[in-house]
Amino acid sequence: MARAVTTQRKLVSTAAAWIAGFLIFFPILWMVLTSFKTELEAFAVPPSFLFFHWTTENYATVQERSDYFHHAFNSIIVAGGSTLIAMAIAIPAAWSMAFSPTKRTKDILLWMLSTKMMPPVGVLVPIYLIYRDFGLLDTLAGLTFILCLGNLPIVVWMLFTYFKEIPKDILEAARMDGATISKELVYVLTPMAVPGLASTLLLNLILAWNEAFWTLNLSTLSAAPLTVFIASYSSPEGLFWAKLSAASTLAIAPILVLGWFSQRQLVRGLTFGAVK
Amino acid sequence: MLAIILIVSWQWLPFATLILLTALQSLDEEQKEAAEMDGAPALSTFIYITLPHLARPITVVILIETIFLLTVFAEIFVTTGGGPGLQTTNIAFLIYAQALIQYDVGSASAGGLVAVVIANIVAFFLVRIVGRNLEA
Amino acid sequence: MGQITLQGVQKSFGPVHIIKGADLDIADGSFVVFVGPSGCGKTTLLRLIAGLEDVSGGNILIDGKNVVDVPPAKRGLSMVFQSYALYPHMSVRGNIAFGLKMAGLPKGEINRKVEAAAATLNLTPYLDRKPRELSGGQRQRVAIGRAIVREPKAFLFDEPLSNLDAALRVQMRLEVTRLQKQLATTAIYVTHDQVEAMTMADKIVVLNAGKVEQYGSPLELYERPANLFVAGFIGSPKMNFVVGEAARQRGAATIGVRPEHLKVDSAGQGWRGTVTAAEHLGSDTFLYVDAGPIGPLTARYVGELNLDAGDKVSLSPDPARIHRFDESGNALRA
Repeated sequence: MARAVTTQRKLVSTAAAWIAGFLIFFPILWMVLTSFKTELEAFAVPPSFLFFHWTTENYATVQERSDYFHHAFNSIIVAGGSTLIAMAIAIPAAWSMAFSPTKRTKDILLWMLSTKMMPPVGVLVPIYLIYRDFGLLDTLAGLTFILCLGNLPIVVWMLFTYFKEIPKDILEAARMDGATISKELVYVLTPMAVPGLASTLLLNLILAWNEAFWTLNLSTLSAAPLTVFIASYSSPEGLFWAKLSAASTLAIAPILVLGWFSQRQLVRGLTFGAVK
Repeated sequence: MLAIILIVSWQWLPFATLILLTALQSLDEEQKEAAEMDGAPALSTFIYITLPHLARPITVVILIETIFLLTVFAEIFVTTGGGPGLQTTNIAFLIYAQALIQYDVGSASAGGLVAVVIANIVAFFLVRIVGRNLEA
Repeated sequence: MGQITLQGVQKSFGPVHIIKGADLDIADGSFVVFVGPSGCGKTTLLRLIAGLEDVSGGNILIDGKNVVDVPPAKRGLSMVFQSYALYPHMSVRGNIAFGLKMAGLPKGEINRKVEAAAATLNLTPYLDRKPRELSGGQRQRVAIGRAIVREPKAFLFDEPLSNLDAALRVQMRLEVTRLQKQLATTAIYVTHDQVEAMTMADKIVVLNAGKVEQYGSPLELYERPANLFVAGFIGSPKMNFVVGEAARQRGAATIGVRPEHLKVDSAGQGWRGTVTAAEHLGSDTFLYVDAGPIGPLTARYVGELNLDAGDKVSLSPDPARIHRFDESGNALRA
């Protein structure tokens, strides 16, 4: 491990990594650039890269035409609400599975995870019908409810793995030090679990924000989050690429920022169970 | 169709990269050094040591992606709307179209069942692998 | 103040019988070491006394009071874990103070006691650091500090030195013993290292497969082992065991002689054999000898002996130091 990695080798691999990263990021970059072009420019072939007439007219039109803030607000309520409720349900569940496991615990956990593997399309019809009959279509409550249930398996799973990582002997040390169960919880367990709770919260916030199946199918306007907002720009009215780009940039901006700051947690959450 | 494939591939590439990168990093450096001491050239080390270690994560990635990509919906909905004709309609979009556009609830429900069964088969294997990891 | 008695203590994990009935009387203020091979149940026994595991049978008395139904937080004991188990989110000060905080002591008194403990253990400059910023030896001392500051009825140590390097281990061995004598508090110390056991203990409990093989002072165990297991476990290099004719002549099924009690006999008396290997340490010479029908023997000679592999040698056992054992492995005393 202490062998000299040749400078040339380092340069090559660094360059390759940057190029690969740039290529992957390119579509997003292109979209942001396009959002600042006029519609005519957006269409032009061959497409111009940086040297064009920069304008913010698309952003103005987008807000005026379809009220970005209304949809952004819906996204926040739905994503935030569903994640918080899911956490409230999942914390006690994951807790009991991590600290008092029984013979059945593993089976229950795997079953929970398997429900996430079911394609939502399989229950589109029944859910839609139920929602229609209960008047839950196009309501914030309805969307929050279904997103909460959808993310619940992942929240439970992630919290379980984080709780499991807390070394048992630190909790035993607290017990030897004279801590009752509640004191053990408050002074030792919770502070050690906070990073895990934060990661889980962040990852699921992002997953709920980007959820594009139920939000598209169960809402139309009043409860519609940003996913519907973007989809509405691809209608057969004609291709408004510049405006679409502006709408999309606006839609993903909050989550991009959030994701940037929580990179490490995201990696943690996404690689659960896959690697030993 | 190619466009949809490209979109979804691009979208899921980072996930696969993440898992494989983490797996690569978890490979014990000493194993590779032992191989080198045993006289293995770089390619052999890759084939006999690195790849088997990656076999599990690769399988997990394939299974997870299969499950989720079987039911790609939003990408089709927003770009091609299943067209032209039925060229980019997959099972998820078909069910959606039948239920909410053609109001053919019966066929849509049947389609839904088929989708679930297919996903179940793949999920069975995935759950088994993840379950084994749980033991560890 | 810290007298501990075990009466017929048993522990099973499901069908597996770990502790098969332990009876012990640990005097207040004594340093008792539980020693034995891996899996013998010494850590389990410690955890039973601590209350971290429930007994499957028997009683544990602390100062005459049966504590089998008392939770660990209320037994008044302190434990030093093998992994130290420091609270990662608290500073050294916080770690040491935690037990006192749980006991509800006023802040001023807590600070006073924490600083006194830190001074004893040379931890004062580190009081505001977090565990991850400390070395192994420093973390160890924090774990000890956390234990002593509560002035418990007894200290429980679970192989605390096994994660330290050899030099540090020797140093900490002395510090732990000195501290215990100074505080005059009962200490129960678990280790698999018989050198630690012999050098630190007032009394040693030798455990094997869940049974107490012998309970006595280090010298008692060395000079009068109760059975083959204890005889072979205590003492390094291991005692030589001889079966067959040589044993029958002395009225036993097996006889044992420690390597240091085998004299190299220049007159050719005693057991004859060929040296298969010789280790020259300068201070001692260890001879590994193939003595034919007697079997392989190890001999220890104080000083330098100029013998090497291939040389012929005669070893005669000191007659006063021959241990005799019957068929079931128990010692025969004349």
